[in-house]
Amino acid sequence: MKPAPFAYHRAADATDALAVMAGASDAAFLSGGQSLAPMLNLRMARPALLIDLNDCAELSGVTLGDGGLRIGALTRHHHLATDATVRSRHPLLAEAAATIGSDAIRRRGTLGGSLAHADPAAQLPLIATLCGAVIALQSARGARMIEADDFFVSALETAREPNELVVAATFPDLAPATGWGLAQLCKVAGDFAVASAAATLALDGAGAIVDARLAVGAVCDRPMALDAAGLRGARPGPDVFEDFAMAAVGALDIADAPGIDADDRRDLAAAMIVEAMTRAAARAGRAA
Amino acid sequence: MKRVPVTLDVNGESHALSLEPRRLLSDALREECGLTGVHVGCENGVCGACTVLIDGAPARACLIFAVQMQGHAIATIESVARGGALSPLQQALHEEHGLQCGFCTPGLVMTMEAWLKDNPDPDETAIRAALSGHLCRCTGYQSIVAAVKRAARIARERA
Amino acid sequence: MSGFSSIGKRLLRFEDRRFLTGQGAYLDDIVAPRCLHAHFLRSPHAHARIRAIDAREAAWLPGVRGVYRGADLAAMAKPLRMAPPIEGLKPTEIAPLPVDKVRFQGDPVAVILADDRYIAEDAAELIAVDYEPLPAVTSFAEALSPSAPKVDETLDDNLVAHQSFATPGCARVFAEARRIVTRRFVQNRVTHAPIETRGCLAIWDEGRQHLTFHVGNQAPHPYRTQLAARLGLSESQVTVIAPDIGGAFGQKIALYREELACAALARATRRPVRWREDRMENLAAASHAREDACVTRAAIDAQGRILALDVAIEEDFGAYCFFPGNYLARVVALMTPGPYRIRDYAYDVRVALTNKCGAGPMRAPMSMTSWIMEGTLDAIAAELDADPADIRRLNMIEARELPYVTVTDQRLEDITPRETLEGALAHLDYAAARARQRADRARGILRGLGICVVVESTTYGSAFYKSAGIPGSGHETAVVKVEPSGAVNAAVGLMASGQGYETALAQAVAEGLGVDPATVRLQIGNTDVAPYGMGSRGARGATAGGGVLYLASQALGEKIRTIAARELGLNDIGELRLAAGRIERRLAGAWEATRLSLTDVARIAYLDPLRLPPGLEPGLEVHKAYEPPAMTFSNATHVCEVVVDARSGRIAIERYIVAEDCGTPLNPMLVEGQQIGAVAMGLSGCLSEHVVYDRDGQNLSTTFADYHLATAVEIPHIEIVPMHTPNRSTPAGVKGMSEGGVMGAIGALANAVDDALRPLGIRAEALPLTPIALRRLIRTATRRSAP
Ligand SMILES: Cc1cc2nc3c(=O)[nH]c(=O)nc-3n(C[C@H](O)[C@H](O)[C@H](O)COP(=O)(O)OP(=O)(O)OC[C@H]3O[C@@H](n4cnc5c(N)ncnc54)[C@H](O)[C@@H]3O)c2cc1C
Ligand code: FES
Ligand code: FES
Repeated sequence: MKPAPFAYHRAADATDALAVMAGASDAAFLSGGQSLAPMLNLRMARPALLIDLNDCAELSGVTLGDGGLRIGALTRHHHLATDATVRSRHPLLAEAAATIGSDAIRRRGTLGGSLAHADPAAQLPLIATLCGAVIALQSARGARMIEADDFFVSALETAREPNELVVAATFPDLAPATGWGLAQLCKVAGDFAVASAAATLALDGAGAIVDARLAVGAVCDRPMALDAAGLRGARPGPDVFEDFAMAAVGALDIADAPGIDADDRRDLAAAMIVEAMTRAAARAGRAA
Repeated sequence: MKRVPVTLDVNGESHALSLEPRRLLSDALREECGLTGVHVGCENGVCGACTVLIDGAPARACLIFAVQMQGHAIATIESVARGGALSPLQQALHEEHGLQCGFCTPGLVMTMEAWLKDNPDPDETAIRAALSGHLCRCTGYQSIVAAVKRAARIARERA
Repeated sequence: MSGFSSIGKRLLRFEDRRFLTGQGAYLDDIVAPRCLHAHFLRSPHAHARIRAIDAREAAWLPGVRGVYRGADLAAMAKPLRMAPPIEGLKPTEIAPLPVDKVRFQGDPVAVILADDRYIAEDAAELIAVDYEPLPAVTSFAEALSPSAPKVDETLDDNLVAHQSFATPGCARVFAEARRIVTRRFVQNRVTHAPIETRGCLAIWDEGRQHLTFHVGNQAPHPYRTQLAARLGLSESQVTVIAPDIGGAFGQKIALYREELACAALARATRRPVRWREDRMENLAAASHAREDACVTRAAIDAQGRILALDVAIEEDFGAYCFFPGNYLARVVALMTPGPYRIRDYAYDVRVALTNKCGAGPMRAPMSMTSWIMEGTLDAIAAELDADPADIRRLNMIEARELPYVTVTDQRLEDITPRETLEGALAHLDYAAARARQRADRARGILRGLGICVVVESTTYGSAFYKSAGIPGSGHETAVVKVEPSGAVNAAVGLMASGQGYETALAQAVAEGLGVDPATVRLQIGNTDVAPYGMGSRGARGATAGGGVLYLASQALGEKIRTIAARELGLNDIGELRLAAGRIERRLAGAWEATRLSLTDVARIAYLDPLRLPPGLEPGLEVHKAYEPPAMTFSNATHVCEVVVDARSGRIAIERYIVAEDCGTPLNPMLVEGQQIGAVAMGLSGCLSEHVVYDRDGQNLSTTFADYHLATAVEIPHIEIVPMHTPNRSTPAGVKGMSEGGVMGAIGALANAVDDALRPLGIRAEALPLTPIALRRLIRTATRRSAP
C-alpha cells in the first residue's frame, strides 16, 4: 500500500494553485488528504501532480454574510465542530462535523475536500444538500456558484471541472427557532454511515409544522433532499414521521450494494429519517 | 521519480532529507529519522497507530506526505517522556495496565495527550468517543479509559 | 492462594516502559544493512489457472533486484505436507508458492525483491500474469455439491475432513424421546487482525551457512523445525528470533509461504530480505477463522433434562490447510457438553475446502462451543417456557460429582461452574433484571438477558493431543540460571505477544527461587537462547510455561539452599529459605537473616567450586521439562443485558458481567487484562466483524474501513467478578486462561439478543448481529404479525 509516483507543488495561494492547475494535465488538489491519501495508498487514484492547498490561508475561515455562513474550503472539520460562530449560527453543521471520523481526521480534513470528494455517506455533503448551500468554484478562467443539489452528481462525482477549485460554501442560516436533527447508523463509531438523515423543522404557535426539510445520505449515490412539503400543517409525532419516511424512501432510487440490499437500505434510511425528525421536533421552539 | 529536499522538524531536531514526494510521513519518520515508535497498522487512516502531532494537533502520519511537512513541527511518542520521566498519561497507562502488546499505544498517547489539554475533566462517554479513532486489539479499551481518567485527575491536581 | 510471596501479586509490568516511550523493538523496527524488500503479487481471481507469468518489464525497473515465481521457489524450498495419521482427515500439500493454479483472491503468485517497498509495488504493476479463471467455490454447501470444482485437485472432493462419533445408546434415546429441541448456529468468518501485521527479516550468513530469521512468531522452536526442514537445512543452521510482537491471537504460529520465500531468497541472493505485510494482505491473505455452522438436537424430558445431544458441525476451511482440517471443529465437538450431565452424545464434523483464504486457530479456536451449548439450553427453556437459569441448574454437574469424566472422555476437575453461575446472576441481580425485562416487554421494548457458562479447555497436554487424534505435544521446557553476580536469567520456549510474560513468568521464577521478581530477566523468543518449547497457544502460557519455570526455580532453590546449608554448617535445608535474595534460617518458628546472600552462594557455585557439597556440580543452572495434565480447565459465567432498538436494529449493551475461576492468577492485573481483552474480541466478532466474500470469491473486506473492529464506543464496560480456586494438580494451582472470554462473549451476547427478540417470535442464529441483520429479522417478524 504505497502510492504510485507523483510530483508535488506547494501552492502559495489560490491564484498560484489555479495557475499551476491550468498548466497541468493530470493534477489533483490536495487539502486534508484524509480521502485522497488513502486512495493514493491503495493506488485507486494516481494523479501525476499534487497541488497542495494547505498554505492557502485565504481559503480558510468562517465569515458571516447576508446569505448565511460563508465557509472557506480549507476550513477543517475540527474548526467547524468547535467554532463558536458555527455552533451558534448553524449548530447542525457543527454537530455534523463533530461526528466525522475521529479527532485526527477532523483536525486535517476540510470542507472543500469533503464536498469535492462527494462520498454519498459523508456528513457535510448531506448538510449542504439539506440546507441548499451554495458552493463557490473557481478556475483560472473564472468563478461560478452552484447549489449543492446540482453539485453532487453521483458517488465521488460532482459538477466540478477537474481544474476548478472549491473556494468556499455558503450555508444559509437556520430560521430562528428551527429544530434540527441528525441521525446516522454506523457499523462502528467514526465509520461512514450505512444510512443517515438530517432534518430541520419549524413549528407554528399551535405546534404544527410550518416548514420541514429532510435529506438522506448513504443510501443513494449522492445525498438526496426529500420533498417535505406534505408535512406542512401536520403535528409532529411518531406516526406522522414513520408514514412520511416510508413514503419518502419509497420514492427514492435505491440499489443493492455489497452486504446490504435495497430493502435494507430503504428500511434503515426510513429509520434514520424518523430519528432525525424526532430530534428536530424536540429542538424546535414554537413561534410566538 | 525525482527526489526533493525537505527538512523535517521532529521533536525539536531537524532532519535534512531528500525524498520522493510520494514518501509517506510515517515511513520517513520511521526509516529516515529512526523514530520507530511511529507504528504502522493500516495505511488507511483507520487504526490510529501512526498518529503524531503536527503543530500540536494529532494527525495520521500515514495520510501525509513527508514533503508537506517543511516548516511544521512534528512530535512523536519519543518526545513525550521528558527527561526520562513518563508523562501523567504514560504513567497512568502503566498503572492501569492500559497496554498489552503496546503496538497501538504510541498513537493513542499522542491523540490523548493533545485531547486532554482541551478536555481536562472528561467523562467516560467523552473519553470513549475520543479513543474511537484508535483500534486496540488487546485490551478491550477499559483499562485505557481508566488510564485517561486517571491522567486527567493527576493533571488537574497538579494544575 | 495464600502462602505465595510473588505469585498472585498485582505487579505492574516490567515491559511497559519501552512500549510507552516508543522504544519497543517490533519486527519492522529491526534495521538490516543492504536489505531488500519483498513484495508479493497476488491473484485477483478466486480460482484460476496460471498460464504464464511475464515479469520482464518489472525486472528492468531500476531498483528491482529480482522477480521469482512459484516454479523458482519450488527449486529452493520444499512443500508443506499436512498428513497426520488421523482417521477421516485427507492429506494435503502446499507448494512454497502456487505454480499452476491460484485458489483464492490474494494467493501469492510472484515475489519481487527491490530496494524499497515503493519500487517493489511499482514493479508488481508491471508483471503480466495470464490467468484462466475457473469457477469458484464460495460456501460449504457449494463445496459439497457433486458438480463442485475441486479446490485441491489432488483430493477426490472438497470434503477435507469428516469425523463422527456416537455413544451406543444415542440413536435409541432420540428415537424414544418425547421432545426434541433443534437449534441452528451460524458463525461468521472473521480474522485475527493484530494491529501489527505479519512480516519477517531473513539474514543469511554465507560464511557460516547460517540463517537468522526474525519473525514475530508465537512458537519459535516448532517454527524453526519447520523452516529448517523446508529449506533443507539442519536445525543448527537456523536461528529464529521473535522480537516484540504487536498482537498475534493465533495468526502468528504457522510458517507462511511469504516467510518461507523470504528465507529462501535471502539464501539465494545472499542479501537480507524483509517483508512487511500491509493491511490489505493481512485481511485478504493471512489467515481467517470461525466460519462454521452447527445444528444441535437435544432430546429432553418434561422438566428439560437433556437425555441426549447431537451436534452437526460444518466448517468452511478456505483454500489451504496450514493446520490439519479437523483441528478446530474437532475440539468444538469434544468440548460442547461442557459442565452438563450428558450421557448420550453424537457429533458429526465436516470440513470443506473453498476458494477463500485458509482458516486457522484464532484466540479461542473452539469459540463456538459455549454458544452452541448455551444456546441449546436457551432453546430448551423457551420450548418449556422455563427460566434459562433453572434449565442450566437442572442439567449442570454438582461439585460432588467431580472429577467428572465427560462423554467425550474429558476429565473435568477443580472447576466451579455452579459457583460462577450463581455468582454472575447475583452480581447482576437476576430477578430484578427479569423484572425489568417484563416491564419493558409490556411497553414493546426489546430487552434481553443472555447467560453463557464457559468451561475453557486450557493448556492441552500431550495426552490430549494423543487421545484427540490431533498432532502436537503439550510439554514445556525451561532453564533457570543464577549468574555469578546473583542475576537471574530464565528462559522458556514460549513467546509473548502482549500477555506480559516478562512480568508474570518472572513472578513464577521469583516464587520458586525466593527473589524479587524485578531481578528476574526472562529470555524468550530466541531459539539459540531459550530451550526447545511448544510456544504460546491454547492458553498454555501460565500452566505449562509458568509451571515449568516454577518447578525449575524450586529445583534451583534447593541447590542454593544445599550450598548455603553447608556454608552454615547445617544438615537440613528444610530450615533454610531464600527471601528477597537473602538466605534466611528458621529459628524457633521465626525466619531470621543469615550472613549469606544469593550472590554469596552464586560466587561459591561458580568461582569456588571446591567448597561445594560433595556431588554437587559447579554453577547454578537448572534445566527442566514439564508435562502438564491432559487438560486443565478454567470456567466462567458471562451475563449480558441488552436492549435492541426495534426500529434501527442497534444493540445497546447495558451490562456485561463475567464471574470467572481461572485458578491461581500469577498476576491478577494481567489476568483481568486478558479477560477483558478476550471479551472485547468476542463482542467485536459478534457485533461488527465480518470477512465478506461475494459469489465470485472476491473479498470485500480488505481494509479497516470495510472490516470493522469494534472501538471503545461499542465495547461496554465489563464487570469482572473474580472467583478463583486453585487447580490441585498443577504447580502453584494455575489453570491457564485467556480464550474463555471470547467464548463467553459470543454466547452471552448472542443469547441476550436472541432473548430480546423472543416476543417477536424470531431467532438470532447467525452472526454478526449487525443492525442490518437484525432489522432484516425484525422486518420479517413484523410483516408476519401485521394484520
Ligand atoms: C479513518 C477515516 C474516517 C473518515 N470518516 C469520515 C466520515 O465519517 N465522514 C466523512 O464525511 N468523512 C470521513 N472521512 C473523510 C474526511 O472527512 C475527509 O477529510 C474528507 O472527505 C476529504 O477532505 P480532505 O480535506 O481530507 O480532502 P482531500 O483528501 O485532500 O481531497 C479529497 C478530494 O477532493 C479534492 N479536493 C480537495 N480539496 C479541494 C478543493 N478545495 N477544491 C477542489 N477539489 C479539492 C482532492 O483532489 C481529492 O480528489 C474519513 C477519513 C478517514 C481517513
Ligand atoms: S497506520 Fe495510519 S492510521 Fe493506521
Ligand atoms: S495493546 Fe495491543 S493493540 Fe493495543
